[in-house]
Amino acid sequence: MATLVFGMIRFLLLGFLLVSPPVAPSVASPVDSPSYRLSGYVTEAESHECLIGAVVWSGDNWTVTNDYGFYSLELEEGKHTVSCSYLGRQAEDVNIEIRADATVHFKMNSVESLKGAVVQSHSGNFLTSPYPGALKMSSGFISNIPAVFGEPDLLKSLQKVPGVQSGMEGFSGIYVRGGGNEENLMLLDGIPIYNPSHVLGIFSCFTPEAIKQFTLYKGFFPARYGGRASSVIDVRTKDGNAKEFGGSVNVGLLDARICLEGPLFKDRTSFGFSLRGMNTLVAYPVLRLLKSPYFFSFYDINAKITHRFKNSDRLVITAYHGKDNFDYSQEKQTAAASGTEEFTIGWGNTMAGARWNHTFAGSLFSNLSLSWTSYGMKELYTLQKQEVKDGADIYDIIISWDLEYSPSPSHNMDFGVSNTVHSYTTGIGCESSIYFQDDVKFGFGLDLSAGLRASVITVPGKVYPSIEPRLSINYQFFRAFSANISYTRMSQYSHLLVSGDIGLPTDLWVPVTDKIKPVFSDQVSVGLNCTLSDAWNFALEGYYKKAQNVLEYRDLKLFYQNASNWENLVESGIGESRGLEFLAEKKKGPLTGMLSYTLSKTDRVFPDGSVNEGRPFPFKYDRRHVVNLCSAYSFNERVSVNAAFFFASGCTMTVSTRPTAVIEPDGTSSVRPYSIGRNNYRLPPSHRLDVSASFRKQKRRGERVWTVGIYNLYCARNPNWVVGNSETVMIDGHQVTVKYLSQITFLPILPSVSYTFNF
Amino acid sequence: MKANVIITTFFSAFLCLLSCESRIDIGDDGLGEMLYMNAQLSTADSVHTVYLALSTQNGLHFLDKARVTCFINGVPAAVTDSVSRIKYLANSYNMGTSSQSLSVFCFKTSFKMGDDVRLRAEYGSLCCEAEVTVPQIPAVRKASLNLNRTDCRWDISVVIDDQKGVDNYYRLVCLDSATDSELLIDNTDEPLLYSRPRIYDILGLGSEKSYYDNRLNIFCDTSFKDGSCSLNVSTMQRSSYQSIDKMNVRVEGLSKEAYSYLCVCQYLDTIERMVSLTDATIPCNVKGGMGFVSVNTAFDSVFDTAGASW
Repeated sequence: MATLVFGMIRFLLLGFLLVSPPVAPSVASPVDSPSYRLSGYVTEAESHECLIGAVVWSGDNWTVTNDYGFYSLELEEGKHTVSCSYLGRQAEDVNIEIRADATVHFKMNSVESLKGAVVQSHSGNFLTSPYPGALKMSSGFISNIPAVFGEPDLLKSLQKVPGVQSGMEGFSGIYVRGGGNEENLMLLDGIPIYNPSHVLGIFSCFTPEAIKQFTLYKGFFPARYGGRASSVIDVRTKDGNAKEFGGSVNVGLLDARICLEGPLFKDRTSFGFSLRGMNTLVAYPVLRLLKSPYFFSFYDINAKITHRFKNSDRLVITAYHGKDNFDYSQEKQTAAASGTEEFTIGWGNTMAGARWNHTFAGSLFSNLSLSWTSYGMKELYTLQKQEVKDGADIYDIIISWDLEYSPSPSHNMDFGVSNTVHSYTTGIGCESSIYFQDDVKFGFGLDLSAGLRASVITVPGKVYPSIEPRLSINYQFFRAFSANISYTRMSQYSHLLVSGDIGLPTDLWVPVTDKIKPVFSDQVSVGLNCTLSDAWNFALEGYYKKAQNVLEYRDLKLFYQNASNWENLVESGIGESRGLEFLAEKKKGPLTGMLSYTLSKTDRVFPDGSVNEGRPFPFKYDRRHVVNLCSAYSFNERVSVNAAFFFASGCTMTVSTRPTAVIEPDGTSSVRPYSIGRNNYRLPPSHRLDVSASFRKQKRRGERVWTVGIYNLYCARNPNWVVGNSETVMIDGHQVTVKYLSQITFLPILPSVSYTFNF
Repeated sequence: MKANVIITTFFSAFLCLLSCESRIDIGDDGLGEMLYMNAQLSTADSVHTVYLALSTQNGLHFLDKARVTCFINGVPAAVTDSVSRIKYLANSYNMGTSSQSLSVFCFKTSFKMGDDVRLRAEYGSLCCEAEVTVPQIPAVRKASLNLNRTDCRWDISVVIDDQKGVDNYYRLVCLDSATDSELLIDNTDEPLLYSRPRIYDILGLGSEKSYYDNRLNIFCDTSFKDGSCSLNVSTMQRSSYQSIDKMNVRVEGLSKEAYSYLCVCQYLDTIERMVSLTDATIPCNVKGGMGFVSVNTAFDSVFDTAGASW
């Protein structure tokens, strides 16, 4: 059966190969030498955790492992030395004689296990993807960024990357190249998550210790990704140690975490489990002491089981559940009634999925997955046993089949299909897609990635098809330099109606309808990269992005969405964003770090006239300049310090600067505040310095780490929240009302401490 | 909404423990002095009113002299430079004292459907203009006014044929023909005019309805596009309505901009606005200045109501 499937796929691909351009072979060889396929997995020696992005090569012929740690290399018949390398791991060499298709699994030792090796495992580094604008990062990057309340956070660490903004200060919003927070496809082991925030965005739902690696795509998007207009954040969790039990316990100011991993069946089946919850041991007594009627809590549960079959197949089952809960309880007495008024609102994500990895004939890698994801919000209000219930839910059921095939050393092909059934509070939709991409190495330093994604969504009354070309050209010259240019078209079939400037649980995901079209974005990126002596990396990238059918509330923004008539509250328009991003990174040595600078401009225009009367206006988070400087210094194996400096131009907001008169048809008049346009005012810039230090000590049963930090070291008064205000003053004997803004900084200097035990 | 209020209150309180507040002075908005102009003209009127003021960041100031010129299809149709009266503005949002006021100018001319009307105001070196097109007159197929003695009110029934191929916007008005003053209409049982805002449920306001949510009785043709609609409303129960000799049931044709302006006018005094995170942008179509100018068409149906009593 496998042979039949593989044969059919090879037949279909033959047609493409017959018309594909001739490529320079990477390896000089006699014309009549047969070639065979060498494939396998690259894993950590001590845990069987698969390594993503490991380089496997023989001579000039090289490849990298995919997101599942699998590689496939075509070699000619004969003797070869095949090498494998991965940052932080000792390089492995294998001498092998190729007479037929073969399998070699690399098990790589950590450099820490070697005597006298330089410690690098605690430093966060980028593993730059070959795609323009893509950045692949390890979990070490997260822990090296000092964070608010001392809680390392994936989304907060992404905000340090050029082109990514936080939106509101201190929160987990991700605004990529002028796109909205809802335009990011957040994937946890390939399954989408709709609301990745806890505590209204102060934390994300990603437990740092559970993460193996994550990749941000913001320029060129591989054809296998679709469904969002601005970025893809692909988070991969650890498979679990297949050899021995281990884990960590962390207690911080606001939350506590426990992570466990180990074998269920040694070398075959492993599990990873993490639980994180609000530190109710601290919070609950404080709130009760204050006699507060409010209580808040949140938790995350991640679980993963990985089974490795003897024939290299893998079955992975992943699950996640996270929830925020808010309670209010107060005795109430009114003229009409008395009793206990109780209010409960809970919101969160739940997802589960299974995937099967199989290799057909050693060269066609298959990933078949079935998953389900949901986001829900429920509220319950009770007074005198009268209940008012409300809720909003979104469910997705997704089936997808992804394949990777390398017909020759110079071609790597990805193709696949997927089908998603979306169920929203306001409607349903069925989304299907098919994609194909070929990564071609022409030799002489020229690489081409060309792909096409075709998708269609069916909603009641309408069908929206989309053709999304993807093209990237990369040219390497002078060994250390590379230049690239890319074009990407993305489509997004759902919108998020936002209540306010922070992510509220009542924000409503809605599908496209016969009246509300999908968002289509077209982006062109041009970049230049320079890598010096493996220690320094410099990148400069410019982009232009145009998005059609972005939504904005008409000029009457409500605090609460009426799900039944939301289409009448919004308007579709055009978003334009352009920018220049610079990144400098030092990857080696006791001092590592990065400097990022973004210069950008983002506008919106709604030609219909119902937003800002059809005139262009700046996007709310249009920040002209953003600078991030992050550094980590390891004094020795036990002590390291981190610092992060942030500077950004102010956001925009709509501010009324003078009064106007509103006169009704019958002559009734009133004085009202007037602003010349939406987002007409630019707030002062924000800046902040965060520092932290970690102290490690090896104990008998594991390693303990104390981390102390100070968020906003010099207590910069950044505008976390801004409201309009006015005062009456006397000017020339007349009372005059003067408008001003009140800037509230609710994240001033915040010391933090946390304790972690790794065992 | 209540969830959001409670959640936001809690987090605001929590964060206030850690927060500090500072002031940002807005400073000069760079607009300087400019003219404010407002006029809601109608084809049913022969004398038209224009409100003018000098706008600064401190407020709106009376103009003792200015010139207002009305152009119809590019031709000057009327000019006035004498202030008819002063209009004092009601205070809202602590925007100042009663010293804020407008100058009222009046002129005589008539408009017809399709006319391009341009209003220009000049004061010293300041000048502003607004240009609008007179919309189609509503095609009222039938209008009736009947005395409802049981409920002590007048029942109004109107059938309108929608103009095909374009979006249309309307307003229903009931007037005392003698004084031209508007009578209150109870629109809560007419689906075209009234849709109970969900905010009432969220705030636990029972099953209350209020005509005030659409007190200007504006509607558009979304639900009867290119077809026809039948409106059935009644006046409020007012004893003073018994003594009216002639009542005028008027259907006005509005431009899209005028409809948006009236939506904002109504919205500004609603409960929804009080719980909104951002304020409404008040429409402005005056170039070189601020304010709003519109021209509405009107289809009048006058009824003799003398001697009616309930």
